[in-house]
Amino acid sequence: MDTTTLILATTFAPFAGFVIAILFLHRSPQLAQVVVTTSAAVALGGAVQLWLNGPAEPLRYLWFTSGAIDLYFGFLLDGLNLMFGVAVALITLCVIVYSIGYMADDPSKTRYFALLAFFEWAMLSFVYAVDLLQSFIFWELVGLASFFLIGFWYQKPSAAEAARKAFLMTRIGDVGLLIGVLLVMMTAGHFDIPGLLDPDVGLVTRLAPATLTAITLLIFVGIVGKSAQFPLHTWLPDAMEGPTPVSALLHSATMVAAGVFLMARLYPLFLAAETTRSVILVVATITALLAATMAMVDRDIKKVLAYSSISQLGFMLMALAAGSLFAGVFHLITHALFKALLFLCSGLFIHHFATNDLEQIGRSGGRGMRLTTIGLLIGGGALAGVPPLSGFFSKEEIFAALGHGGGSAFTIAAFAAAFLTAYYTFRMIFLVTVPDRIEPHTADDHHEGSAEPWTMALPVVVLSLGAALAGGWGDKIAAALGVEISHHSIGDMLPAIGVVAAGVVLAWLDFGRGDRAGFLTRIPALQSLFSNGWHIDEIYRAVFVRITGWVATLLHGMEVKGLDGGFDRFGVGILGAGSGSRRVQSGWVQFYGGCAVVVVGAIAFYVGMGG
Amino acid sequence: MELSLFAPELIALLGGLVLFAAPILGAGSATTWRLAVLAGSATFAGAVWSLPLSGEAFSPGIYYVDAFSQGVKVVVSLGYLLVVLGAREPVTLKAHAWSELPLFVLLASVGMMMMVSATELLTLYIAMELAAYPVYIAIALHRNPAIGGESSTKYMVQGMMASAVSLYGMSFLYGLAGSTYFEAITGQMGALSSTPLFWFGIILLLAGFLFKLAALPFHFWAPDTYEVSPHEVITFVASVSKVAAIAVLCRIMSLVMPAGMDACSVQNVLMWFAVGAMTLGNLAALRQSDLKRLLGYSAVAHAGYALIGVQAMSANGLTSALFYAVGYAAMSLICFLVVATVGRDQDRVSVEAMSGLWQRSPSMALVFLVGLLGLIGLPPTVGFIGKWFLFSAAIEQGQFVLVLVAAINATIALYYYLLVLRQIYLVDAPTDAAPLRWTPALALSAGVGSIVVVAMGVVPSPIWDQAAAAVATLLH
Repeated sequence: MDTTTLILATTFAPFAGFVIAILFLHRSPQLAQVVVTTSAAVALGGAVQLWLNGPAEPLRYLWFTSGAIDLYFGFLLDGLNLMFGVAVALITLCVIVYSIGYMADDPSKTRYFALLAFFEWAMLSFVYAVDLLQSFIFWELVGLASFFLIGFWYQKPSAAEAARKAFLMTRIGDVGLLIGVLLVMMTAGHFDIPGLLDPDVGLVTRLAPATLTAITLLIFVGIVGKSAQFPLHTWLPDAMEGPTPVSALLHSATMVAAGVFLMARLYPLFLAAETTRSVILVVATITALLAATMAMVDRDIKKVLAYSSISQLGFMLMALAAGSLFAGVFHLITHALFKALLFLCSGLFIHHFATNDLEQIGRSGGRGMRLTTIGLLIGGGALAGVPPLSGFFSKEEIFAALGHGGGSAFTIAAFAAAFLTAYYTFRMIFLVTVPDRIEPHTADDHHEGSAEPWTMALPVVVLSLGAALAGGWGDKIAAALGVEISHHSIGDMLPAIGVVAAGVVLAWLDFGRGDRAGFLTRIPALQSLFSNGWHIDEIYRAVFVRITGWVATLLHGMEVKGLDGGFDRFGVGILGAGSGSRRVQSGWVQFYGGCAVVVVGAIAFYVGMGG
Repeated sequence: MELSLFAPELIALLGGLVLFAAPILGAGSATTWRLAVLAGSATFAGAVWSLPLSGEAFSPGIYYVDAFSQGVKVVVSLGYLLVVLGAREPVTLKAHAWSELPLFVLLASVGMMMMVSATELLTLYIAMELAAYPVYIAIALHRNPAIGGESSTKYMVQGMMASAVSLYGMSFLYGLAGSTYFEAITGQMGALSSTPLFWFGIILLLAGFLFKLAALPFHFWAPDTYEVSPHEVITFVASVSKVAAIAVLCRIMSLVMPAGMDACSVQNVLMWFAVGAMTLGNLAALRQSDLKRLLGYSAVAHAGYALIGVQAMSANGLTSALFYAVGYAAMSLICFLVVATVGRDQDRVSVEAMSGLWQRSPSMALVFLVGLLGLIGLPPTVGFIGKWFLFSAAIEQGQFVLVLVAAINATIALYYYLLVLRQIYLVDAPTDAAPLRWTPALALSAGVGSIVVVAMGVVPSPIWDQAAAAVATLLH
């Protein structure tokens, strides 16, 4: 098949799956499941074939012309896109197959699978986009899909709330991205990504450094929102209110990955903007450390994983900011594999034991689920950076990048974060697998059927292989990105190994022998600080509530006083919140009209005299 | 006089006569409604047929027919048709008024169609009043006379104030230019533009159309009128009249744009009105529990977005404002069609009334979702690409701060739209809620509206090119 057919099949198969499922298959969820799974399989086949074919010329179709600017819809087929497209398609297919088991009893399966297909379509179209505006559009659609999936169990008020929060917070970042994209339009006059990145005629050569810094910083604001970086990170832990397979997707190859991917996609711009990279490095480092501390104390298995995602995304951005595209993308891919694996494993535990609580899972006999436990060990090991699992190699690249790019303070911070990662990961593993010393086992055998049906086991196996072996793909990834890499000697790797070992040992001392209290319980101040997420959410809530309160009071006062004439019930009006609509009846139109006329008159007078 | 140039208006007026006569001759409301649909279709067909025409319908300089005017007439007549299709049983009106509603709305549409062709101040003024009075009357037809009378009076008093201000402004323009013809005014632009009083007059002239648009500082009526007016009337006010208002603002801006930098003061004023309308509309909407009132404030905010294009004072800016107005009319239309159906039995429609709409009628919820996505400004709807055009027009003029304010506003707005969305999809319907049924006509209307919202977002070029051609004739 030629490239055009392949890419269209890859991106539009999920879309077709979505449309068919949502329009026609409401009454036959089984069929919807089959259709969506097939479409995801087609997408994966197409993505793999494209990857095997190797980089190709971009495809561009004129979408429309607005003013002097041509907008294209098309596909960019270079190493980065092709590789990440495979990762997205693979992980999505795994999640969809897994969902067949996980969501078997859900009454609205059709909606669920249709949304997954929509999500995949949006993400793949974002990844392959050739035009920056196209990227932005699909970036928004990825956010929209996340909103619906996080809020999928809308019966839970917390899920609805989390969905809204995720959407709002990422959209705050999008304000920056939008302005950045508009700036690109104004300065470059086009949105063609290869053209923007071109070393001879691209933005880097055409723009003044200050403008480039402004553009990249604005784009980074969008990345902060999407990739859940400090200070907009608080939506991600809440987003685990969605079904677990959705979390697996959200945290690995889609949604949060979109932010990091965008930076990698536009990397030459960031590389040329020193100031921006310094800012990113600081933000990413803070995020990596902050989120790691929160993961140390949470008892909810999905929340621990969510915090670890935030922290690992920080790692990726640190690498990119330090100047290593390879390290960032390498970790993006390995993380996608092992984080998807970890979420799927956690989903198996949750599905079987009907609890998110780490200790409860451990007590109910979490290690009895052999395959899941093995998956947890592989995924956790990779996350912690245990050699020779994949995470070790990608993290090692990040340390190397920081070592020669970022200065020592950041290197130390990265090692500290890696130490914390090893600690909280193995805390999680020990809590689940080591029997409680005081309360070793609570009989909990009311669960019927196989704990690990094949639909759920198969993806775990596939992803386990990926998470275990991806460390060896460094050369391939570097080749796809077209960068040279140097191989590290064992001596270079020693610090990383040491840090991980220290973390694991500390976790073992705390939790490895059946204890349930870590060293942090002896430092209550820290324990509470960490488990409250450094109170960041509370601060936001307080500030937000206060501001909206002010605004509401102000406007309500204006409304009520305006309507009421402001005389007979002065002051009381503001308090009578519910009476606003009643008061409409009293109508004080003259006031309205008078205001308007006076305002216009005054302005016209001012303009007339001044202009 | 070339009668064929006046064809769409003429057809509509003839339709108006028929609608006037039908009830007198004993036709029931169902028959009148059918006639209204027929009249709407004929007007729409006439407008489409007249699209390529150009020339002057009456004595020179009074009434232009060109790509701009005819394009807007197509939109207005289609809007009328869709509104009437959705108003098969306008239950919020007095029963005897069911057959009168289509007539008044049709007459208002004729006024709007004439507004966009008028190139002479008095013609413009008369057209503006023709577009306004039938709406005042239609609001007064509310089934609850107390509500109808009060709401209509309030709307009318404010509307009359605005139009008086406009008229006052016109008197200055006439005094200075010695003529009420736009041609004569543009002809003397060199001398006029250095006269402060000229700009005084222009800004006052804008008032009447800012009122129709519900933009600052003539926005006060919107939340009140939206809240208590009959659903079917407000559907019309919230959609069709916005397009006409924006179109006339574009016409006035094209009048002063040749003055170049001197016109900047007007630009400045409109920019502040835009900022004010967006910010005030969105903030005030945050805490509304009445859905129609919320949409009223959202209309104020959207007037602000559209003004971004008008104040950009460029071909792209005016085009984007027109484009957005058309898109907004479609979004607003489908939202209100659903609101009117859900709130059949109530005079006011609270946000809560939308609870579980998804369970009561998935397709109606979908239509509302499309409308909301448009209002939020998400792809693939016209709300996204339309805002994109507006923002890029402003960026071309270097107005970063304005775009930043608008983008922040769009984010604030997301908050209250999501609250509505949540009510529809995430809250269970009350157990005694009756299932909602589409009538074929309502489904057709909402279907066309939804398709417009999505199609303009996915394939913007047809409408955009049309709007650009229209603006080009304005600026020729």
